[in-house]
Amino acid sequence: MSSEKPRIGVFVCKCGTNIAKVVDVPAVAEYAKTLPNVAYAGWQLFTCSEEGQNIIKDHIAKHKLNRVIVASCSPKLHEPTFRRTIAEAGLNPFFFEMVNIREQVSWCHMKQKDEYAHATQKAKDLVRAAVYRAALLEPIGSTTQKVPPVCLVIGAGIAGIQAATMLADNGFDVHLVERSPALGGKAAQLGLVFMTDSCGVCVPPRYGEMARKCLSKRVILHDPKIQVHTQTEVTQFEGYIGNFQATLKTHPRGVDVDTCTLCGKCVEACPVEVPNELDYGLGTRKAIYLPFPQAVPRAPVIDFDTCTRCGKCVDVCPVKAVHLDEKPKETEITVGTVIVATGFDVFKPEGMYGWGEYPNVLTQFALARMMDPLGPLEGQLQRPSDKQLPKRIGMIQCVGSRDPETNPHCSRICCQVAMKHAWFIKEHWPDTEIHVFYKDIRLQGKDYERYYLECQKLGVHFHRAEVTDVKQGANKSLTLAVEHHSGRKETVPVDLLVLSAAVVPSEGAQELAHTLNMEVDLTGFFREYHLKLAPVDTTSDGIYLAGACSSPRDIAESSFMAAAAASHAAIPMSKGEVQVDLAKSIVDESLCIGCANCFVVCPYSAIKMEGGVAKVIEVACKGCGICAVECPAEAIQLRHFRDKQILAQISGMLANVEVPEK
Amino acid sequence: MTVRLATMGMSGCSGCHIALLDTGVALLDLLKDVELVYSYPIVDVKNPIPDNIDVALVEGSVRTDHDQEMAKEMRRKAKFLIAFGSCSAFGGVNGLANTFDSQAGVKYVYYETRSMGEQRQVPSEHVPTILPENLRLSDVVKVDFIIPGCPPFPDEIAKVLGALLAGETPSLSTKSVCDECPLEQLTAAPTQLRRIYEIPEPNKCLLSQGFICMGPATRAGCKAECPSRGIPCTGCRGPAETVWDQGVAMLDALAALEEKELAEFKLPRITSTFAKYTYASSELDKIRKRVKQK
Repeated sequence: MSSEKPRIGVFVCKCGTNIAKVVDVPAVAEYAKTLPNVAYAGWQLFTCSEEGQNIIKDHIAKHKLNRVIVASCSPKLHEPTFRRTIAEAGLNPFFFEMVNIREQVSWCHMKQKDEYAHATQKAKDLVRAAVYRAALLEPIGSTTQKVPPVCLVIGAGIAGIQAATMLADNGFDVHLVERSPALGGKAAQLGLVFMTDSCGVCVPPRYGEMARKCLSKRVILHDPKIQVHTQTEVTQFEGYIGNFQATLKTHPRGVDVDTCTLCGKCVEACPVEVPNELDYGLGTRKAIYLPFPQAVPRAPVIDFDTCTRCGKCVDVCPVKAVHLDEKPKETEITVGTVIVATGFDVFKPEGMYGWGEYPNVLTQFALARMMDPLGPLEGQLQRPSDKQLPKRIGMIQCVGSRDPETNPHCSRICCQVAMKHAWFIKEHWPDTEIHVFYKDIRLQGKDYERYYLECQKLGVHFHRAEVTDVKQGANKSLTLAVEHHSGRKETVPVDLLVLSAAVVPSEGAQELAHTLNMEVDLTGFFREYHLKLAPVDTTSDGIYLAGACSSPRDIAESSFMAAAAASHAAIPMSKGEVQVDLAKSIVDESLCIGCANCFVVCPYSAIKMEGGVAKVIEVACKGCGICAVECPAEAIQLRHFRDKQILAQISGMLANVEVPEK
Repeated sequence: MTVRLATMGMSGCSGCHIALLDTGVALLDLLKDVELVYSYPIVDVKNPIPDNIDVALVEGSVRTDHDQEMAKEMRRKAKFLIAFGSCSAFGGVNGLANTFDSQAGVKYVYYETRSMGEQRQVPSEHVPTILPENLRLSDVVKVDFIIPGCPPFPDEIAKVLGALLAGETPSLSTKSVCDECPLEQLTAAPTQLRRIYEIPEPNKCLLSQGFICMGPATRAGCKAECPSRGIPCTGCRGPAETVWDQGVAMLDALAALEEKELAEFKLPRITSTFAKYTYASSELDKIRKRVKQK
């Protein structure tokens, strides 16, 4: 605590008319002059402007101010700005206090025209509270943390691969972890993807290469900077930026990738046949199988859950690459940063429109597998029940999306997918009749309108209507009861019904969020730090998001976001260190009783128990204050938000009402 | 110079006075320099409180109008007023009465109890009127120092009085009971709660084992007499120096428990477990008073 007498400067901002329209700003400034320890008070049109900041610096010098209060907008917006301003004038940046009289006063009272006087009073009360608090502020320093140039990328879909290759091209080491046996994620299962109508495994080239590359030909596996871990999960994770420790558990593949020649004899020899989970029930695979023809790494994999260990594959392998006794292995790694790119899953519309009950009801993703020339049906469009070409196809949009009972969010890609499939079917099987039932068509994004116009030109029927019932008739054909938004009701017979099922968080996302200390939002997707200002950051420093794990996204957006995440992760790694201010929890070790409550409740694993007392890892601490609240011995205080500072602020707020004792 | 010492009891059990006498040999030493000018629990007094008192020890909580008047008079006459024991300092166990309506209590005692016989009326003479709230001494007059405890520890009484006689400012420990506790610290938060009749593992922290031991939030100075014998602390010495509200701090101490654990444990009353001695001065009681005013 500084021993000099506080000399507080109060700067009230008009923010153009944003604040001044509602709050009498000069009156608030006049009032501030009457408060204790206030050496200067005045108002400006835009305090955050260059001139506004210079005025603050001038007054700090002129009136020997040692505390500065700005009453303007949210601290989220300009607290860093003004902290820098006063630091430039020679004050410790934590001798700054911000009062939010825009979001919390003028904007929220803007519509109550006869309440403007009260709004001004509220602004005065808030300023008074800040003045009481400012007198008790203390200077706070900072520390540095080394960040090694190693990044862990979780998920090897489009986003994960993009981020990993960008980081590798920037010279950083990457651990690329993928849960499934093959790279490429959901995109690798698609025969064609919009906008380019090229195949899903066709991905952008690496830096310096001009031609786009097929995923299977990319040298990702042989890049000395990228270590690929397939069939691997992150089982344990702790630490903080610059010092994350992760335990990776790799399940056995059973086939040695380096010696395998991909002759396929083992797959032929395998007597076990089960449905292929990648094909949504359309095809089967063996217990030893190549997930899909272009799968990378280029070797079959053994599914040890269904394998009978008969040994036939071992016998036929000419290079002795099959090992039935391979054990799972654990690897411990230390990384500086983490990029989470775990993607999404397709919603299972159980009990909806006859899905799972009638054979001719599919999801768009199953249709995509069907029409993939390298898929289980080699690109044939057919009804699953009788293998015949469907003559009439129905598509229902927003299945499990924009629906309060299942998922409230818009899944972002289903309109595009339906449009792409309708167009593709019309191009290749022009006699097919297609009916699309939609709530709204949402096709924002570069070039998407083209599909819509094409589809209209080719005669796809669009109905703004709700399908209220689906009945299966003779020949396993379906009859849809349709209610148009105009109120007209009709029945539409179709041979095949395709549901545009929602995009939902990837299976296991909740557990991963728990392991990595990330937040999830109401829809179950990972929460970004700030939707607009920090869309790839998370509340944990050094952990970044890429792709559809934080919201439904298409390939192009995932690609942008992966590039953004890679460049964010590169910042601390290229600097080699991060600056961390110490406005964090602090333990009075003489009062700590070692009860470990703080250790248990800390959401950021920022507290360790050492020698019977709690210790704060300042780099990991986010200053949330939960530990300070729960500490039964009140041995923990949060710097910059100490009890006495908060109580002074409350006393200030209530100074004209009644001051509580103590 | 002889110091003029007075002691007085308000609504309490006289246990603090017994503790004063329990200082034993130390009391004999103290009495060399002390003149006990007023102390109705110890020496026979009928006179009003004498003037020019140097140090006054006031036991008990302010429960009646008589208590209130006596407290004010003692304050006028004493230079240094000490709230003696937890009733006086925090409201004490008596404070739990604030969760009930005082008039309903009066009615029950004088109309519904069998021992009242035929005389079913509230006496108007020779009996002071009960106040609507049980108060601590500092709610009525300015208090210079507290000696907490139910009862206070004789050693501490002797230490405080000794310091005063030596012309020094007395002080209490600023630490919590855990600081003095000899039990092995487990550095593990409890995962489930246990009842008082259950037998703890010997020599291990009781709170870590799931017993509601108020040690962390309670002021040190008792040498952890209870927990060191396997009895969980009930918090008789009130909040530790840095603790804002003893009961709330202790509830916080269970923050690491699963949410349902506390609900399933079925405490008879949260107040009498976590604010047994401090309810009348707790934030909970302040909130109750505000609600009542409205």
